[in-house]
Amino acid sequence: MELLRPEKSSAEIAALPALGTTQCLAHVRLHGPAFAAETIVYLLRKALDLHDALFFELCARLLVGSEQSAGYWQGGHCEGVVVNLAKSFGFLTRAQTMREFRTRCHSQMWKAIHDGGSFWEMRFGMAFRRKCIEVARALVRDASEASRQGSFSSTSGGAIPDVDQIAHPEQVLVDDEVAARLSNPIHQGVVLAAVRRLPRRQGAAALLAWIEKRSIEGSGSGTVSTLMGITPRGVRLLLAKARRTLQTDPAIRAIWFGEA
Amino acid sequence: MVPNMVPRRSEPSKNPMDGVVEKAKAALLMEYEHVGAVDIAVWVSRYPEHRDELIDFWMWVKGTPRSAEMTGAPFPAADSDVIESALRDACLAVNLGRQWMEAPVDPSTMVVQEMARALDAIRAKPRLKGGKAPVGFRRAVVWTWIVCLFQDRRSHASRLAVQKVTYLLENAMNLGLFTEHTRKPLGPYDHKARYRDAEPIAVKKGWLDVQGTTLRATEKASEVQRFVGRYLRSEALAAQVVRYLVGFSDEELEVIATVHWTVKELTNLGRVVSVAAIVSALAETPQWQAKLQRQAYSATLLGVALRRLQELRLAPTQ
Repeated sequence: MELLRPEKSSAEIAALPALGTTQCLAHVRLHGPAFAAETIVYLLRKALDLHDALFFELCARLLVGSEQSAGYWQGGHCEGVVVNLAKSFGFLTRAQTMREFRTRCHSQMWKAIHDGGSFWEMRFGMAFRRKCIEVARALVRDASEASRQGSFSSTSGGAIPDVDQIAHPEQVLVDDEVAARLSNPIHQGVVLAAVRRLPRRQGAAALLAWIEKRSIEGSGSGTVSTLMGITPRGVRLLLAKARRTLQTDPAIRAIWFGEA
Repeated sequence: MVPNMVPRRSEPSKNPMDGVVEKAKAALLMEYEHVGAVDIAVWVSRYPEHRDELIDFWMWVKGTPRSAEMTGAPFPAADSDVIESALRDACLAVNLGRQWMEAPVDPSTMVVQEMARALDAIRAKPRLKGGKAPVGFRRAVVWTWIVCLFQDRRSHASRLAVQKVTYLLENAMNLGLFTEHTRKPLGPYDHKARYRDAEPIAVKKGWLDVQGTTLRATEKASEVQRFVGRYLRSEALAAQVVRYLVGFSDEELEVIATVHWTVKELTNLGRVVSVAAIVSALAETPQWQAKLQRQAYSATLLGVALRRLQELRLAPTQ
């Protein structure tokens, strides 16, 4: 995947005075607030090469912004991504989770900037978004794993089951009406949130079969069985387990039984 | 050797599992950003060896706002202290090195206590038999996976370290996979893993590159990610244990594994477990008595190793 620096960033970098000079410092102080995030990452990396902590701090501030006396965050390129993704994952209403999410997003971003990697200089927004999504995934998984700690078993993570443990087909099949309700975009946020809390492979099966409405088996490469690389019977067991867990969630029960 | 034997952080190196799949995930997210939808079947057919990770990643991307859909400023200034703290650490790391940003690992923290509690719970449950893959293949998969986790933190893994980690992981989780360790001069050692199955199979599959005593996972090692969850009783917990152990040096791992072996013997004999009893047991063991001449086996450091095992609930507390 070959990526070029965004045009705006390329122009900004081309206009920079020699790095490490007082002219450069003055230039960044003056124009920095309008810089593209990719330009700022470029400057941060240069500051690292020069071991110039003061210049690094100046650029770092441009990247994250700062708190204003009115109680709002001003400037920067991070807070919008953090808040919007947090809202999508349902973290905004849970202060402790939100704090943990924000902490990890920022900490991971700084580590990635220190580590190098051109993608952050080419598409900062996408790189940071991906990092935040990974953070959210780990955060929710850790919490779900912790809540299942008392029931660790060889299949608790949704591992491939033995064939003799296969559930009855009627436990797995979801009729068309239920399938339509689960895949209804109106309910997508709630259903996705519940599916993401499932063990990984159960979640994958539920996503593909119930949210994306893919058939479990059949010809073609788009069936759940083919996509997951397991037998249809394996998919059915994962779905049976997923169904049992999901139906303990009142919001999902309401959707499932058409009461939402 | 760090005097208090606390796992230390080092510069991470490239995990071969990361390269291809990370690029694929970045490209998938870009497609979602531009098109607003992703046909995951296309991505799975393009990267079949990473299907599990791609499907899982898609589950988390789906439904998130694209750039154009994101609400703009102003944003209330919440948790500004954590933002400032992360920024400050990043600035300090300019001169102090990247490891400054890594949280110090204190084995007495809640994290280790929680891990120990979870290990206790998993050991208390009977192991379920599942799947049809031969044990040798399973051992090769887990062996390779451990090397990959080493490479998250080190440039390579030594055979000695992997041997000790498999030994401790087996005892921590009762996996039923690495039960062949015997007493050797450098601590518990599984010769079958070296000569008969885990390592030879991993090399044959192209997952590992072995140079002398150094093991390196290759790009192909990402294949094991598809299987490893089936052979560990909890992949997340096993990863947590291995990452914890990787923080110790090879010599520290040798000491911890040796102390664990000795503690098990003392327990089986109904003897009290203490540093003095461990020193005495080592002195009585021809293969291991020479260890006591080494600084790493001083009474103080044996005591620290015993404490680490007690924190993990792998040794009785008196």
